[in-house]
Amino acid sequence: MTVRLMAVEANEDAPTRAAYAYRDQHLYQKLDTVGTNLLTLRGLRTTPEFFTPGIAHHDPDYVVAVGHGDEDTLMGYRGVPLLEIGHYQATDVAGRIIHLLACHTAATLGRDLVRNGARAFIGYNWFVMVHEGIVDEFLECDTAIDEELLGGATIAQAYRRAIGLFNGHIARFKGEGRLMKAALLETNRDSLMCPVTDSRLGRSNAAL
Amino acid sequence: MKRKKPGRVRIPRDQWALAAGIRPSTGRQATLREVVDPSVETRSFDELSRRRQAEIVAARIRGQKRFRLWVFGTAPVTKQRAIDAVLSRTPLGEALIAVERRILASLAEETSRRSRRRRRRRPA
Repeated sequence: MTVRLMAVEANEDAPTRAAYAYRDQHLYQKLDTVGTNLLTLRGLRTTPEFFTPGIAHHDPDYVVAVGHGDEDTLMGYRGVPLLEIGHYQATDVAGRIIHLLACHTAATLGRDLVRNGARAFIGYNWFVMVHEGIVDEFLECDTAIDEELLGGATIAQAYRRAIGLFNGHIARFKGEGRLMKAALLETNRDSLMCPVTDSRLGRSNAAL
Repeated sequence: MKRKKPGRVRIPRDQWALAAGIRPSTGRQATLREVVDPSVETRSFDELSRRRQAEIVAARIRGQKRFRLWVFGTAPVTKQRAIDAVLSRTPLGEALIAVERRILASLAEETSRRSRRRRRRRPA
């Protein structure tokens, strides 16, 4: 069975550029091209003019997006809303698993996506904070969710792997006296939400 | 090579000189070294009002040689912007206070562990 993946990468400033660079090297370039049908929207193409038709034509099983966000909106290039409560069609999300690497979106948007038919939502309910000294460690944890799901794992299994990676890095940084790095990762770990932490975000046993 | 026990925290030298509480007698900020010294009367971070906590966090950020922060949602956060956010307790400021609270909790846990160990070693 081929999984249809849609990747949205705002790729416009330091955190989103770092995220794309990591994810391109560690995820997109390593995808099984037989088992995965990938549509990537990047930079200038992360606008509704490309996003909405992309969803309609590609009909993805899994949508993963990296950009800026707030409680009710995922943003693409230059802050243009891509998924905003009250402004998207249920058909854009119904039946899909959605993973957003963006601030705050698990607070409200994630539950709204699930109410409108998404199978599950994974994302963060607070600020996602990093710096160049921990961005790779953080992205390793977050990207593990994609690797696991694309490998056939359930949401619960993918979440556990990510949390295990977070915990490993946090313990190491504390042991090295890098307390700011550890604290930032702890904050991001604790704001990572999914059906395991909140049943309003879908089913823990959902898989691609 | 000796393996580190899990859960241990190395306390970097600069942390001892950063604000971690206040001295109630003067109202001035107390360093971590003073907070853990039983001969110095101090109030720890968690015992302080939110306004005092914000002041401590702002001082801790100000005292860092290099402050770096990226947030998925805003432009890179400079040291001055972080201090302003903390002192005005904006949502970003509250997030930074929460991050420093975690650091101070790790430091408190480690200093308490060391103190217990010293007491156990002391001859009766």
